[in-house]
Amino acid sequence: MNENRREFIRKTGLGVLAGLGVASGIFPKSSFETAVASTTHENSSSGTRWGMVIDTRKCKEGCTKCIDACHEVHNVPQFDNAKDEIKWIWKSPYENVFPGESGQFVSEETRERSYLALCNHCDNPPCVRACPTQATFKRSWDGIVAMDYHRCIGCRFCMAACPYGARSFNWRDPRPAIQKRSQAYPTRERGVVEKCNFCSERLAQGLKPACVAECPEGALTFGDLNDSQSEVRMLLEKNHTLQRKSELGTRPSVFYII
Amino acid sequence: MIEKALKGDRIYWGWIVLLLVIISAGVFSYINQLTTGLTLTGMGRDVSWGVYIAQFTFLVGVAASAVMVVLPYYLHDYKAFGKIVIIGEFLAVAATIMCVLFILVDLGRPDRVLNVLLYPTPHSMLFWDATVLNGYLLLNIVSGWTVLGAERKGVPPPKWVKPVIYLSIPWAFSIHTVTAFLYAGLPGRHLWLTAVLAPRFLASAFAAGPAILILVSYILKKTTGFDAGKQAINKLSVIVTYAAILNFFLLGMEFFTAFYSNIPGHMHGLQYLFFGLHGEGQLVPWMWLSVIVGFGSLLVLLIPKLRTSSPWLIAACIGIVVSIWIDKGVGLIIGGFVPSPLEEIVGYIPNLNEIIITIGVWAIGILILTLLLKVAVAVKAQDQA
Amino acid sequence: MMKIRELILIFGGLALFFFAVTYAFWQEGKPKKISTPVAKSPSEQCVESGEYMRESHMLVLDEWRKSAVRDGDRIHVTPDGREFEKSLSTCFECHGSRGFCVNCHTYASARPNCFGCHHEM
Repeated sequence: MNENRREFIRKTGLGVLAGLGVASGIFPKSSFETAVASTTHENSSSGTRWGMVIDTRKCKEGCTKCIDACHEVHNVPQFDNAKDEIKWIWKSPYENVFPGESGQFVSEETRERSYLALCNHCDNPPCVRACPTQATFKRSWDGIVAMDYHRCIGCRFCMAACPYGARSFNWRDPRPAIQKRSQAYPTRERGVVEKCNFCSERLAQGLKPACVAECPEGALTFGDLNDSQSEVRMLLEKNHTLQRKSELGTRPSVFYII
Repeated sequence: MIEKALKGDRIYWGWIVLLLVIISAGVFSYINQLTTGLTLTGMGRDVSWGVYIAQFTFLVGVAASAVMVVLPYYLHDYKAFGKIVIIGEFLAVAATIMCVLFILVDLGRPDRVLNVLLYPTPHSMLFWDATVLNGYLLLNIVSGWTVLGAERKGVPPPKWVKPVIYLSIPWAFSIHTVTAFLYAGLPGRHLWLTAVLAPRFLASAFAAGPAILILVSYILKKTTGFDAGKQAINKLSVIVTYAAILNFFLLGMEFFTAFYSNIPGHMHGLQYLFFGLHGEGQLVPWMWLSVIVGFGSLLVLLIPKLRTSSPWLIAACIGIVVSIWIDKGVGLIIGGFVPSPLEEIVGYIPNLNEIIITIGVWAIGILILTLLLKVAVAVKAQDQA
Repeated sequence: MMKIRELILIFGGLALFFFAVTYAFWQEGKPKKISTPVAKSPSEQCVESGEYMRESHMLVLDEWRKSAVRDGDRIHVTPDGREFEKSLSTCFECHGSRGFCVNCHTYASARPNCFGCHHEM
């Protein structure tokens, strides 16, 4: 037994070990390759994904036509107090709708406008994750985050989970507070959660959502985000847009042109 | 065995009647809530969980803390806990039942509660919470009742109960961990979005739970003459001490991460609770009361001479319970909702109907605990006779 | 030995209990006739036979509800190829209004909660 042979065996052994290490990925091939850890998720789920682009520049201050239309079509009750309040779509100031966006030296015009807020029909919805009965679920065929009022137990876990405050609970019987009963959509019972449904009942009839149809300024555009030829995608191509709290990874389907 | 709960003196029956009266008031208020809706609570669109869910959170901790007597006694054969272990298990039973009731009274549609089982949803933490809570209730009823029943007959407990008891040990940790996951996994609720929430829950549970156990032991000693033993109480008070230290340590971690990183969203919840945010700070006095009482009690517990003196220990235990009840049962849940996702500050004040229901549920739990302990004490007394 | 008085008490009590329990069956006569609701029909035929619908319309509606809400399958196709939109409103196109339902529901003491939200008065 000589030194050389011992050395040879030792080196071979190390070589094999290193080779195994590379093969199994313990040692990276190069430590200097960079990858991007995306926080805002360029990827979208496949199939139809309904979405909306809101051109906030066109949205007129003081106009509530979209809100009124939505709330009338869907029999959303009007309570006078904030505690019982139910809303599917509403207007709030910049710092409330976009709390993560910088308010420093933001133009006066941007700050003083108010912005529409509604359910974002997230591609990755936390409310759906939280719901213990699948009463709220993401529709596999078009991405709408829907509510099954028949199944909701009223635990309000989804309200805690929604980072956009888009959900309302029926703290009391809503019917006395419905101004004009619309037969296009059912009312709700006391004790269940509700929110914007992207007008799925109108989409089924080939109509656009009520808010989109009613806006006299054409500020709202609705369409399939996964269709590269759709109107919404054209707008997204041409304009810089924001999604609310995109850093949370929820992938909202509502985009804002500021 | 249950018949032993039917024999008692006037004080015992007076206590039972008092609890029943309180429970009736609670039931009446609940019927009120059922017919009118949850609008009869202080909750609203922004603070959508309130005192019910807060009590639930606190009581899951009390339930889980039974493990602090079960583990030393059954796993390490720590004999001094021989008499107190059944009190711990029955406290867990009563606390778990209260937890389930607090969830029930919080539901908008309690008639549909079985939907949780009809449509099992593994990605929902609430589904797991319902599962582990009910499992824990069953484990503790079975193990406590079986061991006690064997003791009454003067025979060793059946062999099959051992695995049940062993299973209840990790299970106890699981109930409070899953309860923390209800909150800690929600994006956009900064106060809750912290990895130390589950450890914090466990630490506060293992401080408040054994503290309640010590207090219950003193009450039992005073009213029935049942003595859990000085050594058991001493050991429990040490557990309370260390758990309380850990609890405040973890609370300090929250402050460091939020305020050193200086990320506004992370600071908001704590600012609102402890200092007030934009002039709104309805919970500020509560939170400081919690901190001051908590630290004061901890100081007492840290001094061996005071810790081993009954009056001081009782005061310190009450202090720890009050401190943690405020922290978990008031601050944590409300603070998670303020400011709202749209960064609006909306307060919450529970109203009368809600408070009566809450007290009613507590009374149900205390009634169950009274009856169970009555049985346990009677069996133990027969042992000694 | 049991006294006669005790026997009378026991059997009298049993008889009273028996009578009370079976009281409903002692009632004279047959079920009250109610007018059979008739469809005023744009479509000649319902989605299923009249007999099936009388017994099981709730199953049809529940199935409609589930498939429309949860699977987005909003069109019911009968075996002979006719198509209906899965909606309570579809029923009312032929069957007039809620009155059609209420008549029998009242008689059968059935209290479905459909009308809380759909076609409430």
